[in-house]
Amino acid sequence: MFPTLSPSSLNDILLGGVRILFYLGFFLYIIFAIIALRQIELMRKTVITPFSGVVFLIGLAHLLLAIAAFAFAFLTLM
Amino acid sequence: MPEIFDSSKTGKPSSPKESTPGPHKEAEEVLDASNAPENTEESTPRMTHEKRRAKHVDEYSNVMRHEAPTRNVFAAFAAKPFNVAFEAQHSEEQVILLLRQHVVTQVKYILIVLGLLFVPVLVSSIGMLSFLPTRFQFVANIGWYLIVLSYALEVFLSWFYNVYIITDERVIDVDFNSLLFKNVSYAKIDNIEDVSATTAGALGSIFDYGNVRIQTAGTVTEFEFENVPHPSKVVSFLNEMMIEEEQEQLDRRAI
Repeated sequence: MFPTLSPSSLNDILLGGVRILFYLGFFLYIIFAIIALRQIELMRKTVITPFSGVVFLIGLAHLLLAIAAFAFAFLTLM
Repeated sequence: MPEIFDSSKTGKPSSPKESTPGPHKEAEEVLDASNAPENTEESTPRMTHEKRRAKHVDEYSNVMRHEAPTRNVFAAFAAKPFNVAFEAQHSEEQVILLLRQHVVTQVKYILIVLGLLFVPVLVSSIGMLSFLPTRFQFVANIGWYLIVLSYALEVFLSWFYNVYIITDERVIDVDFNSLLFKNVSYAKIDNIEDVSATTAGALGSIFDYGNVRIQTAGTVTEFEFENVPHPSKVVSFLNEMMIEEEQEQLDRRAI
C-alpha cells in the first residue's frame, strides 16, 4: 500500500519547503552582514575619516537588523 | 618633499626634534616657540619650521592656495581635509587632496534603490505571491527590503571608500568596488610621468567631472581617477607637485 497525498498534506509540504528556503535565505543574509561588517572594519583602518566610526555603527546596526529579521521570520513561520 | 622643507635653506642647523615631529610634537613645538624668548638660537628655527609646515601646500601650489580646508566628510573634492589619514601614511606625510566620484554619478543608484522599494507593491498588485499565506508574504517582503538595504549599503560603501588621495609625497588609489574586493595602489610623485584629464558627456560638462589618468614609472603603470570633480584642477595641482618635486631633486644635487 502506498500512502496517499491529500491536497492539504501537499500544501503543508510546499509551505514547509518555502519555510526552509526563508530560513536559509535569512541565515545567509546574516553571513553577508558579518562579511560586510568585517570589510567595513578593514576599510575603516585603510582610510581614516571622522565618519568612519558612524559607518561602523551602520554596519553593526545592519547585522543586528539581519539577526532580528531571522528571529522574526523564525517565530512568524514556526 | 617641497623646497620649503629643506632645512639647509634656513642657514641654521636643524635640531633632532625637527627631523621627526609627529602631530602632537608639532603642537608642543609651537607652544615652545611661542613661550620661548624670540632671539634664542633654538626658538627661531622651530618657529620657522612650524610656519613652513603649516603653510607648505599653499607656498608652492597656486591651486591649493585658492582652496579652503574641507570639513565635509562626504565631499567629493576635499582639499586639505581635516582628520583624514590612511593606513600606510608616513609620520610627516600630509593628505592634501581627497577625491571621490562626483555625487551626480551616484544618482542612478539612488533611482535604482527607489525603484526596488516599490517591487513588493507591484508583486502584490499582480498577485504573484497570492498562493502563499499572508504571514509568508509578510516575511517575503521583509526579506526583499533587507536585500534592497544591503544593495544601498554596498553602493554607499563603494562610493565612500573608493577614494583617490594625493599627499605631498604620493598618489594613492583605494579601490573598493564591492564588499569582497579591495585594492590599494601607491605611486610616488617623482614617479609620475604624464597626467591627463578627460571630461566627456553632457553631465560631465555641466557638473565639471571626468577622469584623470596618471602614468607612472612604478609597478602600477597607470592610475585612473574616475568621475572626479574638477579634473583640470586636479591635473594642474599634480603638475605643480611634479615641478616642485623636480625642483627639490635639483636642489639636492646642488647640495
